Amino acid sequence: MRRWRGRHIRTGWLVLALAIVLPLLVQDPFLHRLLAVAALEAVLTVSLNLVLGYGGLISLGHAGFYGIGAYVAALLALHLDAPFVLTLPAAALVAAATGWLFARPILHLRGHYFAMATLALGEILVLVAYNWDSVTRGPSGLPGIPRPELFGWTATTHRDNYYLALALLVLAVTVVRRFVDSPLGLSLIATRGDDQAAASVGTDVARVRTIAFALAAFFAGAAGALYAHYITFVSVEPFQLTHTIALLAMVAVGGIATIPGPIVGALLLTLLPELLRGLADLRMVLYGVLLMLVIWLRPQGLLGSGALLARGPRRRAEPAAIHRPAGAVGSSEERSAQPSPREETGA
Amino acid sequence: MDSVTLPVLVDQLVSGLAVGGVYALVALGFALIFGVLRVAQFAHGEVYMLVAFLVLTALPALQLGGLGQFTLVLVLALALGAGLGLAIERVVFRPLLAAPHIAAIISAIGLSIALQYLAAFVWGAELHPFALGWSPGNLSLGPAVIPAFKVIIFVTALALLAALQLVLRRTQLGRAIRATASDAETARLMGINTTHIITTAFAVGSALAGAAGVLVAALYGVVYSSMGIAALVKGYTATVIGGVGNLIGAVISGLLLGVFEVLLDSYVSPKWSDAIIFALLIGVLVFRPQGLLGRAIPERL
Repeated sequence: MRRWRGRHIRTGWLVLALAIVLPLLVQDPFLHRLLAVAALEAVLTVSLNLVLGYGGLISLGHAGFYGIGAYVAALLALHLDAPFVLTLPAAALVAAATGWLFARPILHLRGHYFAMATLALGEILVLVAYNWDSVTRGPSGLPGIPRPELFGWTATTHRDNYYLALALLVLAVTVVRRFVDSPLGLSLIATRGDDQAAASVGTDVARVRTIAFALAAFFAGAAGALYAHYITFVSVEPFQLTHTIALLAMVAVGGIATIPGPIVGALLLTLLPELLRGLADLRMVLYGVLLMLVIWLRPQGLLGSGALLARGPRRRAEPAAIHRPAGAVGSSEERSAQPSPREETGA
Repeated sequence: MDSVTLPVLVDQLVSGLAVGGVYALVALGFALIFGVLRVAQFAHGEVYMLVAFLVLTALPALQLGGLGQFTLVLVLALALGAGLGLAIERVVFRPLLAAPHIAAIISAIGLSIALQYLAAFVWGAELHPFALGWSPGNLSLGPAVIPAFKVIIFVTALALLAALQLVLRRTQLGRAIRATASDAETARLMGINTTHIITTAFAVGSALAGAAGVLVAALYGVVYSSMGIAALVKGYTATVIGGVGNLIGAVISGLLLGVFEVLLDSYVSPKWSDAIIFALLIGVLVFRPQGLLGRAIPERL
């Protein structure tokens, strides 16, 4: 992770400067709206990457935490007139607490069992929001949430909200990067390669994973709160499995287990449907095809090196290698890697 | 809420077994592919959806009537599913055999999105009525009168599952598939062409998804472009409850899932039945991490 110091940090500052200046130079509310959405998506992908990339756990419930944040913020603002400075941290904390409580019993699960448990949690959260009419107003959703307001300043335009999302993104990136650099983060990465080996050298696997999961949920919840105040309306649509799947795609396209990858993925896959708008009904078809094409050309993602993923002992055979010349087997073994452990064999 | 009488209960159990039979077919295909490839086929539900649409389109040309009609539709669905599976394996999964698993999963997600919106583009995103053109009438089962078609769906699902078990247990090919599923590397060292086995598993697994697609279309009488997602979630759930890699477990949990769902719909609330099932699923995972029917893996943290 030390390689992120130095050159990469300088590039990061340059990109941030561009992200601040660009919307001031280009006065296009449509672009501002897209950037605001992309920045919110990036907060979600950066936090998801903590669990997926560094933790090696496929979470299929990330959009559920986004939903918790949005609903908590909306309900606090609508019923208690709570200001944005309170609703955002409260939403983030509730999401983090949910993540923490939920993570504790399931973190010993591996691979697809973990994915399934998170999928179930995400579906339950959506179903509760959809069916608990007296609180969430079910399918009609909650309208009339006040715009974000900070110390007398109200974020009314798309650009204002973009800057708020960008600030949240910078915070998320900073925290995730520091976490990954910390002893705790290094233990997390160790558990991904081989959790039993990590445990045998004294890593508290469950604790490390719970913290990572709760931290990811925290930022998803904060993003949800900002989303609720920005759009001024919440209903269940953005919190469903399809959104989590889109987030996974963004992380993978950008480059899993890298800092800039999830941001690039979020930006590209948010802009892509808009660029394809001319194709009308076929644009999502092409979106899917392009997704496949990117992965086909760069399985490790656009910015991914694959180096982090290739760690850990490889037991699994690569069936493709049978048709390859002997020399190619080694390289394919190196590239072959999965974030989830390989334990779930059976019959 | 219905009052619980025997005829009602029998009807519900039969409905549950019909729905469960469909889930079992989806789950078995998913589990079969997962077993040899170790990658979740996230476009599995799209095979189910696409086959239902293709059969719907072909239906006007298939007017045999009677059981012949049903058989023809089923065979067509199996063939279309197998063909789609072969194409998907060749285009999406084979180029990524050596890539990180997450890459293959994302690629399958891309395919799933593309196919779903392609179907919406070609046929329209609305619900399409699906009439098989054959109604076998009702069946008297003691005091209960139940639609015979539900029984036929359940029996068809069981027959397909039994046929697959027979192939897996009794033939050289089945042995090779099981060997690949349990340890691909060793299987390859023993001279099994694992690439060929993966292709076969895709064809067979997708054929089962195709059959499930037309059976569910005939059961509910509708086809729509987003029907694949629910099927994928249910199939995935049944696979995990059954214990990943345990094919019989996938079948049993698929059936249980169907029965449970119908009973919860009737006696608790259709609004909350899915939430209850997912909550129970989390419970199962917490207390039996290897799945309800999976074998315990000895070393565990």
